[in-house]
Amino acid sequence: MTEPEWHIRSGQPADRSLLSTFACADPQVDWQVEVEQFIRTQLTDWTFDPHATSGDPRLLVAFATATEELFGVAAHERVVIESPTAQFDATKLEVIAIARAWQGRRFSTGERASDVLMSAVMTDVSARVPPRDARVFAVIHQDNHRSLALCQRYGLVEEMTRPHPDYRRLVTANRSREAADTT
Amino acid sequence: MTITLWPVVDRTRVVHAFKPGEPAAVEGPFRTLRLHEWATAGVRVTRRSGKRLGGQMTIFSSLNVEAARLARRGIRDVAGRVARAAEELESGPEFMRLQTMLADMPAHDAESVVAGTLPDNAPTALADVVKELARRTEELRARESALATLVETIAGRIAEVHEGYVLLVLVSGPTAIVPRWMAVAAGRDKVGQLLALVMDKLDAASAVVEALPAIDINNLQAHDTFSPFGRRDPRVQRITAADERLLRGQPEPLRVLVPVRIDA
Repeated sequence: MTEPEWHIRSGQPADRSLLSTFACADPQVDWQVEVEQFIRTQLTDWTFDPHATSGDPRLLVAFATATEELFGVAAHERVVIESPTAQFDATKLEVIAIARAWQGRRFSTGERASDVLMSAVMTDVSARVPPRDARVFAVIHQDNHRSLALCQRYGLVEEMTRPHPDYRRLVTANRSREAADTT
Repeated sequence: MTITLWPVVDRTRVVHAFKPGEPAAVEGPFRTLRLHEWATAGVRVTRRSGKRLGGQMTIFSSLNVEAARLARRGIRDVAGRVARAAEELESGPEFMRLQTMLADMPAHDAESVVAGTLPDNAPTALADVVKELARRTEELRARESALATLVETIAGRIAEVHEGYVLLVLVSGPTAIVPRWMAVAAGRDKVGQLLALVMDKLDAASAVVEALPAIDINNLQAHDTFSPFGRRDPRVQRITAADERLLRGQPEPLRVLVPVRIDA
């Protein structure tokens, strides 16, 4: 079996410098710049915030094996989403970003760079101990069509109310209890 | 109208509040403030000039000035708390947006913004983010009762400009005369502009008086700040009854389309 053309590892505090130059944004597009700035200036602190360990924050960094180029950055954590009458454990996809040079690209074996990164996130969520709830959601700018499509490919097909008029909130689907009981 | 101080400062102002009269370029006072966590490291802005880097500057929340002043007066625990509040503000979405906007501006314009003047062609979003920062600064200041009496501040609108002075009409009604050179230094020497005077007592008979740029935080544009990142905005995790119905039931198994191994 041949080795894949990528390798992915957990982020470390020492990745701060690596992340500080990560480029995923068109400078003319505010919501893209916001993503890039978050990764460059806040993501390391977000991940290793000693007050946030209960949420099990995770940072993943993805490299192209041949060049050691950082092609993707992702992060997620456990959260509780709540209404006045109910609470649900869930995983929030904090950020999923592909480097500009890799956006829309595939590896020679056919896998999209974005699919490799998103599969890594879902694999990581599934592997957490204690187990995470399988409800996974993401807050995505309404003009971020690529991320919206990517999330939908990975089962975030239901849409909750918007936290802000410009941002959509997608979540994985749930089967009703009755349907779940009969399968 | 609610007039308050400009919410962003450079390091000079912080050092000046800690050691009035000392040259602001001296490293020692700022190092002392940092050592005791009475000041933040600020937010580094790396200006872009096309594809090249166009120099760097560091900006600070004006709360650092208050923290430095508290430290000077020996109110050290409150100084630490105010510095932490400054850090909270500087790591928030408003500072992040300001950092991005300043990074794309020419050096002179970016420095003017920090000094309290928006360029003539400044986008509305820049004015909005500064106002939002001023509003957040006031919210954080209100948490500390010690700040209410730390200095005396009068703020108002310039009604008249004369050769040697400007006439400031205070929000509360009375007027004050401010030497024109001080108003010029604050970038506020035209009729209609907002100016503040801060009187920082040194001892029973003396005080440092600073003329500073001010801003009206009541006429905020309808600019709703929201960031999907970080853990600060409760709207990210707040759901409605309709969302609740959507979330009930058994979650579908997660999809993995490409087998991936994750190294530690």
